[in-house]
Amino acid sequence: MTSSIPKTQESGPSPYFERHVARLLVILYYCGQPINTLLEGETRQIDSLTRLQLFDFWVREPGHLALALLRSFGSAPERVEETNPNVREAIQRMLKDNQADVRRVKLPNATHSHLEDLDFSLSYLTARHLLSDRPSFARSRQFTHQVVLETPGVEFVQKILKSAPTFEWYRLQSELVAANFNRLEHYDLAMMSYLAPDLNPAIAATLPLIPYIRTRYEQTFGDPAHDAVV
Amino acid sequence: MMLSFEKLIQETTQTLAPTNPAITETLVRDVLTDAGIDDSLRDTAPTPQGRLIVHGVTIIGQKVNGDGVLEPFQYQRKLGTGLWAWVGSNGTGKSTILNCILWAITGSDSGIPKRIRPWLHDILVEFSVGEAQFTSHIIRANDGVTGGIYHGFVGLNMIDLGTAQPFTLFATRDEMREAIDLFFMQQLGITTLRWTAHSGEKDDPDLHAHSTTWRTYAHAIHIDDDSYDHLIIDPMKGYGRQDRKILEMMLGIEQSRTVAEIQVQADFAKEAYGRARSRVSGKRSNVTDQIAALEQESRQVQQALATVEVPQTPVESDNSFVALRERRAATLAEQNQLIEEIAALDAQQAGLERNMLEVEREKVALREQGEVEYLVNSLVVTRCPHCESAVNDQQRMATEKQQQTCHVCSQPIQRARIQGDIRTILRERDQDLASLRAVLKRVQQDIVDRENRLDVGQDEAARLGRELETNVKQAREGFSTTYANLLVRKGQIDGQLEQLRRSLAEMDAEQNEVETAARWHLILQTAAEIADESVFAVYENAFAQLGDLVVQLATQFGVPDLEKVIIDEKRYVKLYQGGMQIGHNDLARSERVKFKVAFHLALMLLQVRNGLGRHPDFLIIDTPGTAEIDEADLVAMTKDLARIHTEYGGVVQIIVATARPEALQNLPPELTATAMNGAFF
Repeated sequence: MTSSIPKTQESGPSPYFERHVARLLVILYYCGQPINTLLEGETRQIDSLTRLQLFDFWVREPGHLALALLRSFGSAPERVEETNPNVREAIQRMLKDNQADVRRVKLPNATHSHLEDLDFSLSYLTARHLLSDRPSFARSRQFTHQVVLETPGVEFVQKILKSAPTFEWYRLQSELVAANFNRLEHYDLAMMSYLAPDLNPAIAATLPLIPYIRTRYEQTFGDPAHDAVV
Repeated sequence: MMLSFEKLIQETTQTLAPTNPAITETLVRDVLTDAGIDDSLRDTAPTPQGRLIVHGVTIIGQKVNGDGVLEPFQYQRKLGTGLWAWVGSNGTGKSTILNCILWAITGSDSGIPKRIRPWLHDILVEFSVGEAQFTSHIIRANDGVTGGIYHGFVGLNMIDLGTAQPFTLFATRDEMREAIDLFFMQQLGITTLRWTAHSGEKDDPDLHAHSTTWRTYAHAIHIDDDSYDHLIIDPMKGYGRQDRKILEMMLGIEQSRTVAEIQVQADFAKEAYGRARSRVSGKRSNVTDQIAALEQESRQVQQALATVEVPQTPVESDNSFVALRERRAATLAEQNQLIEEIAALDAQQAGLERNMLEVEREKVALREQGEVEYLVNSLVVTRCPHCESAVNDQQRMATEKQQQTCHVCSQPIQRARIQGDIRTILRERDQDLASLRAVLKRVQQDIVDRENRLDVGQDEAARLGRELETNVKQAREGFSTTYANLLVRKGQIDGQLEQLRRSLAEMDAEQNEVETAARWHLILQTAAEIADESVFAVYENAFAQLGDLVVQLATQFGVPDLEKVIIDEKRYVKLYQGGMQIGHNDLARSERVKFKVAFHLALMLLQVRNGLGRHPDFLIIDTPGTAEIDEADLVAMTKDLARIHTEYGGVVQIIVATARPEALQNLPPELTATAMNGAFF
């Protein structure tokens, strides 16, 4: 039987709840640590909720991701060529057809924070045995909160990617974020220092970011961006 | 020959160009493309026709009996193709049964009296569309309406146990209407047609576009005493264009959507033209009056100057000084105004771009949602999200069914969308985008125009400034006070006159905009008429066949001397009776009822016999003309219905209710339910 999905949450209406859940699963799959055990089969694991929220932020906000990566590689643009996936090509892909602005996913009623409150979505997925949410409850500095994409979840993500071609975008973005997360995690999202000097968080929340990305791309690489064929 | 975009452009140009040289083929193409007509014509594609058959009705509730005591009842009847009847005197409940069926398949319960509504609790109607079988279930409670449409013929037990597979579910009255509308439009291959109307709201002078829904089209499958003759369009009564849309959709006229869309755009263009005209005409007459008054005063000042004797040499230079200053002031004022207008237009452009981006984002969200919604919804809860212990599946479904809330989040359970919903919303967003792009184009053009004017004005102001610098050195000596005052006044008048004449020139430019708006309206209205005529020409034969069939049936039902029925190019139904052309309204009241039944039957039979149109081959006739039709005519009418049953009973379904016992003579006894001495429930 088809179970019905609530279209509203406590935090406000979410008419695209299924889309949010599917995106989270793809992020868990590509940004999580792959673990393959005889007992549990193939799973993915992320070590904290905050980390999952950060992965999600960078995937949801392709404009921010492009600006942050350009800032990060600004001092040594030649190192971009060593990256895999290639950051320069990824930014050109985001510029193609204004994708960095068009594919921006805004959170419903989440003006107070850039990070999504994942409690509801994780409960939803846990109840359906796609993932497990495992807090350690330990009162120590070693406190962890593992979010594990279980074997049925891994299979479900593969099913999504097979039947939903538009989710290819999230696959590419997740891979890019996972590969460059060591650079991205240095940025404090309360300050968003990578936006300066032309932008600040409030302006970046409303304006299209494509013109700023193009300018910064040209400043970084010395030539204008050519939109990649996606 | 079917209408194509190129043909529409050619014919519109050929019609308008002889009297309007400014209208060229390029202009017509631009206007029609900007209005999105090319897309509309491209999207016109025939969709399959579905046949609707009701297979059973169950009504459960409790009624108030004669002693004022509540008494539970359950009414059930199996139905199928052919002629099915309820015969019973007034108050036996036959109309209520028919209206319950209508409620379940159209979402409208307007036919059920308010007194009866609290009696009804569950309505279950089993029906098929083509080969597919469905069950529509409505639960009515004091706090609202819930229910859904399920796959297959399912009983209340299956729905209660949660084993029935829902196609769509609804939790409120609005959702019910929306869900049923969408379901039947998709299943029957019926599309939405748009039309315009002014809002009835206070302080809302705007023209709004409205869309026809399945509930609108359902007028073609239902006849009762109170319904006016939607499809029989009489010029004397002035029925609206949506009635034409029902008729054309039932006749399967594929390009009605294009004609309707052009007409909608033409209506909006007419509205824009009217507003532009009223904006310009008032101001222009006001400025013309001011110029006339100032010219009069200027002549008086000139005469006064001529009578004062003064040295002549400095007059000319001083005059030019005053005039230059006034002109420079006017130029600078105009520049300031232009700068303000450009700023406002820039803000408008930014707003439009933001809106377009939002629409693009929504389209992406809809596409993604459409691809994963069913997949994610098909996941079943298997364990508690907190302790991760297993959940009893049956218990969960029973609880959710009982409380209508999700047991995980306690939110009300709402229906899942279907692919069709998402496609419809995507199409609407594409239309929104096209309109926003057209507005953006106009705003960008306005900005360019104003910037050009600003450049010209800045050059002019600089030149005047230089001239003033040279003139300021000229002395003003030897004038008497009177003479000086007159000179100053003359300078002021000349300056004001120049400013007003400049404003007048701007208004003439605005007048050009009005003329552009008028051309838009003319082109779109002409294109709408041409498209309409073209569609009529293609389908003239269908209208003629409909007319012939109506004559045949109406004559059998007892409309005397009816010679022919013609549906003209305006879709007006013209009747020829006794050698005279009359309107439907000119028929006697009893004849009107018979004609109405004949018209609806003809529309249905045309589909059955000739495969014309998209009528669902289903008709409900509720107490037709109980008071107006005499016994012999009612017997004749039922005889013809019985003949249709014999001939086409395997493919069509007609459901009849009547209070007249003489109808029993012809109605098939095995398919007729009677309640002459009691009530149906």
